[in-house]
Amino acid sequence: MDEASLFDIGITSVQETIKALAIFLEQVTALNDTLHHPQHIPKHQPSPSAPSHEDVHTPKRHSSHPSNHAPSVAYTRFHARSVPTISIQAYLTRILKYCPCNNEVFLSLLVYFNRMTERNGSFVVDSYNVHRLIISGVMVSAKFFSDVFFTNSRYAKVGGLPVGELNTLEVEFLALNDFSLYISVPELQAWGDLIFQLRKSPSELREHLARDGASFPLIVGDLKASTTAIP
Amino acid sequence: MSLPTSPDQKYMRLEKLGEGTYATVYKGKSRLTGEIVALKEIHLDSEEGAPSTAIREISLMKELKHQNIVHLHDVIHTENKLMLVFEYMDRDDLKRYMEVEGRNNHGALQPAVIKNFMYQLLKGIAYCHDNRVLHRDLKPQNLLINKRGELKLGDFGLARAFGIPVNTFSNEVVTLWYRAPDVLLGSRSYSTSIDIWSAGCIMAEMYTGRPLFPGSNNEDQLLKIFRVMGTPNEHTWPGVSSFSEYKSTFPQYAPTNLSQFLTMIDQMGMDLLNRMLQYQPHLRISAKDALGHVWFNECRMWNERGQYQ
Repeated sequence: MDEASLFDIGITSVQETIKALAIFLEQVTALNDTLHHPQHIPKHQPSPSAPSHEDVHTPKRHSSHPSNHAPSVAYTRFHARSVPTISIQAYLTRILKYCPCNNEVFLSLLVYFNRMTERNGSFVVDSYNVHRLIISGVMVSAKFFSDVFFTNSRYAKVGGLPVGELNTLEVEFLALNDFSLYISVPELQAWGDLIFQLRKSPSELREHLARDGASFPLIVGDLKASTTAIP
Repeated sequence: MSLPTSPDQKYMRLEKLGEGTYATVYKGKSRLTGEIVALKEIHLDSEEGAPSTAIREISLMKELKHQNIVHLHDVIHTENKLMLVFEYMDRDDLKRYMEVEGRNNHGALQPAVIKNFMYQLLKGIAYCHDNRVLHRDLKPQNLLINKRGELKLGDFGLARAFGIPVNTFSNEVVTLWYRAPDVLLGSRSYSTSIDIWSAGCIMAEMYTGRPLFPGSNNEDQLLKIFRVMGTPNEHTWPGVSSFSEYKSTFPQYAPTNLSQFLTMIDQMGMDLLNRMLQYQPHLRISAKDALGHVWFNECRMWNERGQYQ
């Protein structure tokens, strides 16, 4: 089967899309963690238990503190004090279950994260902020792309954070994107093609990211250093 | 990107121009340049957060730059409100323009003015559709006019990007009087033709000063259309009976000649209007083809000479 035809924005099921998206984001955040928090690489253990409000809101405490982070990282309002225990895949699945939306909403996250990183020098998507970025991104993207979306209080409940905080993150997310959420269909399709090509083999994905990282502003840092950091 | 400074530092608020469900519009003045602008202040609700209408309006209007679309200059945000800074259109909207200019003629406008406005309206629509954006709320109140006689599309709060074929759309769009019959019948797969129907209704309204189909609810709206254009059936509109809101008990009306209501319209104008108000969405003329219609011959000539807005 032709690799480019693995994904079709109008046909591929959203479940499949979020699986591929989760694999991609797990690798991106892991890579960015090693680049920016070298002393502290959080382990991504998919949580077998059902995600609850507490999972994101009161995360597992790690021994290190944000003060140990490499100085290059800009702390934004999206940063948790420590890494939430719920895996990216479980978090996306939970969002899809309680706030259903289409492929373009989930794929748009990659475009927005990329734009935010590109526009805001030291902004990095890592394990500390990826959950808050996902819930804020899904919410604004659904409001833009879809005629069906939910209240902020519902997204907050599903995302596991107080609505007041999510409201602040929403404006922050919009501002970091310069309030421009428009994405062309070919651009979305290209991201879909990429994550579906790479989902089968995490090692291939790591190599791809390390090799072509320059075209992914999502990956910020010295890529030569990163290649040696990856086992 | 604007820094989250207080709006009052950059713009001075003058009089209130209008109030909507989610926004208040003021006339404003730039403290730096003295330029007069329109300030749309959007309150951020604690339950709903940033309104989707604002998110769409900003995101789409940043993409759409055209002489027949109101220009969005700037976006300023603070903790609890967004402020959109638009170019100021000093002759109000088309509805109020008709009330004032057509006051001796029941609100009807001069045929030459109508042609000029329709040309500009269709240019704005064609540009949106070329850029894969549906406006979905075209009506006289959302068309803004300035003293130079320019007409521009405003209020993109219901607009939406299109292009993914399987997506279904809400049928709760477009103010009832300007809503296409396929949408009234429950279609969720409409496209650009939805805006063309609205444009046709607006054209007729400029000739009479009154809305063409002023329905009071969804069904009444359909019946008002049927009374003029005839009740559609499988023969005149194949597939019509499969729409969710179609009823076999609809009263049966024979089609009438639309020109009897529009005494001032010429034959070519009537031909264009008929092409815009087609029942079957795929038969409705596109904005681009409408601009090439023979009725607009002189507009195209002026346009090419650069004498036309």
